[in-house]
Amino acid sequence: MNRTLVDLVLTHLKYYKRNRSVLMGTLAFPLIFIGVFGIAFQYSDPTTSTIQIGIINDDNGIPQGSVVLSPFGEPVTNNLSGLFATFLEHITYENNKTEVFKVKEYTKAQEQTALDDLNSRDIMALIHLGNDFSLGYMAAFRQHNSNDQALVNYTNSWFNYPNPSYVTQIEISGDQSLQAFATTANVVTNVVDYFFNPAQEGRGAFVVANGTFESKGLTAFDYVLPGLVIFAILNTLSVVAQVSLRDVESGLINRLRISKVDPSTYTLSIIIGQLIVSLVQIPIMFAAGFMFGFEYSANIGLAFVFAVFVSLSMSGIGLMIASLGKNQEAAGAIGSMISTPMAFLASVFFIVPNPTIIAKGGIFGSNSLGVMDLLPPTSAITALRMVLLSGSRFTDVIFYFGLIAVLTVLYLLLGIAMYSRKHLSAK
Amino acid sequence: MRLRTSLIKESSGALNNGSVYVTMEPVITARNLQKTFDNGVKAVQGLDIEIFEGEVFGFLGPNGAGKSTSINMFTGIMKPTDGKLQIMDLEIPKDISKLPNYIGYVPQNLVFYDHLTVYENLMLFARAYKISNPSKRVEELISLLQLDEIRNRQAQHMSGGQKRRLNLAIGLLHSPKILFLDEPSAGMDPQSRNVLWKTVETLAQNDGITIILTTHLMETADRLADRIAIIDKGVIQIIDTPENLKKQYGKGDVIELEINKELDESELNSLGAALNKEWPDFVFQTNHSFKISVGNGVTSISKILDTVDSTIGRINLSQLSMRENTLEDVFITITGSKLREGGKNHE
Repeated sequence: MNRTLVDLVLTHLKYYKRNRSVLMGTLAFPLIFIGVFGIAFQYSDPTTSTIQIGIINDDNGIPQGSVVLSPFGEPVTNNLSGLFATFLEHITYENNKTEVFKVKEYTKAQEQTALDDLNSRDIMALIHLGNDFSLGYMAAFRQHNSNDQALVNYTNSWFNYPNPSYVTQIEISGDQSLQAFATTANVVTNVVDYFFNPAQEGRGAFVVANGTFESKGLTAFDYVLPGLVIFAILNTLSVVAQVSLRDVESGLINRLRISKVDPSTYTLSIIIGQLIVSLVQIPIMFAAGFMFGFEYSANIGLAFVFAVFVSLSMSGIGLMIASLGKNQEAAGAIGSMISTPMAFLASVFFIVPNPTIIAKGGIFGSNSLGVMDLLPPTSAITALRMVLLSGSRFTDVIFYFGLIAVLTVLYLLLGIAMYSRKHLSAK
Repeated sequence: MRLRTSLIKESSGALNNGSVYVTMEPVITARNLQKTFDNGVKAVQGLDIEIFEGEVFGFLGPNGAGKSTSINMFTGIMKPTDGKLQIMDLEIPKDISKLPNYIGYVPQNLVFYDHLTVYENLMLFARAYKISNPSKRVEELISLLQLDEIRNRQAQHMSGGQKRRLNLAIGLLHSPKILFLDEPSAGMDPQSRNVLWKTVETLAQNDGITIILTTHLMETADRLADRIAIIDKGVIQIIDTPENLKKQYGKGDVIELEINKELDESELNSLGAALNKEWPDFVFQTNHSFKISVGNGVTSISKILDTVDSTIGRINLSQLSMRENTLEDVFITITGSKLREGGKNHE
């Protein structure tokens, strides 16, 4: 990194340090939001209403002649999927023992009906158990018990068992901006972990005797916090637009050019400077969230990555505004006019419809592309809710990772190109 | 001519008839230089000029005349639409990337980071210029421009004059061969203006830097410039030394006359026509006052009054003054307009 770039980045950071109004807008404003939401929901109960979900059970069952022990120690010779569905139905909220799910089962032939029910929100999530569900269970069972000689004898030397590395896919579909979906994904992910790997999770930690599994449920604050973190970063858009147009208006760009500063160095300094600001913002936002009762920190590093993408993409859009705006005041106003609706459309606070552009399938796999997904914060907020609230791993959010990466590169390149063409070349 | 001896190159000598010849190398040569903006406005229409090494060259012109556009082309901020421009050994715009090695630019607006201190601003630009030992050069300029007491003050908390000096210091950081000063003394208090003038004179005389300045302050141009170009409507009207301009166009004295009634259009037309016959350089300042440059004020006053009487009848004077010609009078004579304070906005 060249020295001029470092100097310009430091200059950008000093702009924050020495300008209280900018500092307030960047840190205080979103912190106030977190505080207000945190206090408002601090003493409220988590959502404890029963969620209607659907299960498409396509399981072919256990190979004939085989036997496996269920997570509860009972021998099973037909299939595990039925047991799994029953298990889900018996899960209760820990605070009031209300059942978490009401399960509606569908056959493979009823898949369209299940999707229609999902679209009409008769069910809030649809769990698809594949035809190898039982095989997946058997593989996990074999992996965890391969050294147990008694079980080896019992199961006839793992005859008919798949290789231990065999994995079955359990697909959960639904509107990912819904709190009910987030709760479902959170609970089902934990149940799958327990169901497939009870030894690792520790049976004693769960009430297995009566087949129940308790969930804490999500508060509105839990649900909205990932959105608020992204909301804070959206301010990047206005700041970049204003700063980069301020430097045009004041003549600094021309002076820097005459001072041998490469135009790309200047643009990069704004983007990197703003990225550093975001990297400071994110932990502060999360810390404030934890202070006000947010408890989910699973895969927080992955959440950081998505937040970084949002910062970069907002810098790109900010540069686009700076290339179109007349002056820095107008750029700031346009920035707010874009970032505020964008926050709402990306479901920061509440759910908005997301009409499908490209249906699932092909390279999208089980994901579909909606109109709102073209806004980088939408992918980030969805992914943040998944990784934080549902404990999803990178492989679970790889679609959103790819989407936000592509959008970020696109917006950033477009922003740099437009800004350079308008302001950084001799006219 | 006030051209300094530093302008006389090795090739100077004496002609056979005894007169001295001086050969000077131009550092800036513009031939038929033109700039037309996207909206069709022709800001510069065929600029022909040569500016020589070590010269202090003044660009004068009313707002919108094309001064700053010319400077912007010389500094590489704008590309010429047509014509030829050579700066030192560089063809512009072909060699535009090498231009920063030679030129320094002090814009009319105060261009630096408001939230940085004097020292931080200077160090930032010094490193950008990749000056060896930047801190030493920064200290030199802090001393030269008397910024030591405020070196750690943020620019936004400095006075207008202090900001002007910082603005100038940034342009001098890399010891440029050619320095462009765009309205350098605008908004300066007398103390700061004096520091500026002394600095410019030192730079030109001791360091041999070619200085090109635009200004609407005649006092600044008269004091600093070796030669002056008066530009209007994108065209250079005249180039000469301040003394020659005053001699050629000043004609000695200026008489300013104000009458106690406002003249209607027909009276203005007939009086204008009558005065114009004898004094083509006269200028109406308002509809009841005008200014005439004359060779000898004392002998001309009665003739002027007779002309007025014979044209619009007997009048009562509310004010009559006579003074020596200034560069501003020359400027008004040439451009026919009064210079105004204020911004240059896209000249």
